[in-house]
Amino acid sequence: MIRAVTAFNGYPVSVFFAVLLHGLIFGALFYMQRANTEVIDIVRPPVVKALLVAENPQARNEELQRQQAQRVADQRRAEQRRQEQARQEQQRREEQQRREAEQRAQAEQQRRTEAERQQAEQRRQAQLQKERQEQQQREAQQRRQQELAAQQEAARQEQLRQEQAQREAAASAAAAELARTDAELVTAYSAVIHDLVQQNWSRPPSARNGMVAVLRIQMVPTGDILNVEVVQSSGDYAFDRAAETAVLKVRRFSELQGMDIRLFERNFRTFLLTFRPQDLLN
Amino acid sequence: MGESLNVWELIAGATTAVQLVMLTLMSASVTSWVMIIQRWMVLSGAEKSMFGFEKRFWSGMDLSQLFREGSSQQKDNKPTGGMENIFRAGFKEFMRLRQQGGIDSEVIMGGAQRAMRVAYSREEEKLEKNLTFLATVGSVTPYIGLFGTVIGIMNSFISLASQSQASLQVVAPGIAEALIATAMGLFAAIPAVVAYNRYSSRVESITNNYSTFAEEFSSILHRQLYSNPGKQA
Repeated sequence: MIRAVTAFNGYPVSVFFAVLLHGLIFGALFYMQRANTEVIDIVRPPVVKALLVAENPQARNEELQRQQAQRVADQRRAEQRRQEQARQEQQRREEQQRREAEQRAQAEQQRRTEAERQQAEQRRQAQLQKERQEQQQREAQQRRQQELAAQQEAARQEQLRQEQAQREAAASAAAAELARTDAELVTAYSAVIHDLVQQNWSRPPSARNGMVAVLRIQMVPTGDILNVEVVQSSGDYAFDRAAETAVLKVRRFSELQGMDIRLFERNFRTFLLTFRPQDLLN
Repeated sequence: MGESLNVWELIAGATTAVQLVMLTLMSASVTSWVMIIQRWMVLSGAEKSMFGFEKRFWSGMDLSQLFREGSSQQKDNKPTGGMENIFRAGFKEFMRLRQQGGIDSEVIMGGAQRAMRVAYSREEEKLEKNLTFLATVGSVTPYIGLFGTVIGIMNSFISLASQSQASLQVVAPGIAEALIATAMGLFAAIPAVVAYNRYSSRVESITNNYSTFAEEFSSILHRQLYSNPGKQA
């Protein structure tokens, strides 16, 4: 034993014991740490959990805008469907009228053939009346021809009407398409505006969740801001001022320069911007 | 802070500089403990052999027989103790000078004392080996740990600067991680300082015993030299 300990001046034994000691100490530390972990789990305050919920106001705004655009598109589709139904109703009515006219014509024809038979009997009885009857027959034929022509005319007009309806439907579809791309563009431009304003927005410490300030912004087609005014105050002067300053700091939405002038006039000449701090903790 | 802080996760997630500091401290701690244990064994062995030799020396045994016993022990690859080495150096020199003959007794005494002084300083060096390392660890590791802490806190404040909303949860892990470095520095330093103080006092008492023995032995040699001067002639 003594010899083993004193071999190499006792260094191997020393190394063994030193490493063993550190291993024991760190093992104890690790064990205590695990015991502590459970305690921490129990006392963890609920406020800490709330911190993890980070809401991006921009994403929320985008979501709202998307929903609105969806709603508008739905309304437009419903309108289109209603028009389509009205048109089909009209078509059905016309069809019925035509069918009735045909029936009338058939009845007429039957009546006429009966008359002819009677005339033939009468011809045998009285030849004098023959000429008059022949004339009547001719007249009847003429009438029939006229009726036929009228029928053809009606069919032609019906076809014309159908074609026009189709043209109208195509035109309305194109308009809807245009409106949809317009809506997309407006959404994109709004997102740009929101981004820029948000970057320049420094919220005052008095800002609270639930505060809403609405600003009316007037612009010219170059993207320069002419005027900013608070339409709806949040009740906190500093918050209103901060919102106003954020817009004024942007000074110019240069991204809006290449925009279609029709879109600009309709959506961005004057528009409202809503400020609400959603991601605050208090 | 969904999951609680774990020391191991903190160490694993620390910055490279702090990890390097921690590694240095860890190796310093292990090495200092190796020294502590090894010194403890060396000093205990020295004390034990010293007391054993003193007992044998004062038992009235013949000095030349004592010397022969030591020689046979060395032949068996068993090292002799520090005090025995001093005795052997002095006795060997004394006998050699005495056997040559015609040498003045003053010169013989001077030679034996010189040989014992050399053996004494060699033994002292053996005992004090590595004690300076313990002293260095004890005084320097707190500073290394502090350095790691400062680096870690600096990093955590730098990351705090890039946060829009500063909260305690952002800084806390960085500071906790940094403080681990200080804790490790102290962990390495405290045993080293205690061991250094303890061992240096032990070394001092052992070397005092050695020098006392050397004085006593030289007085014995002196007595032997002058009690029977006829042997010299």
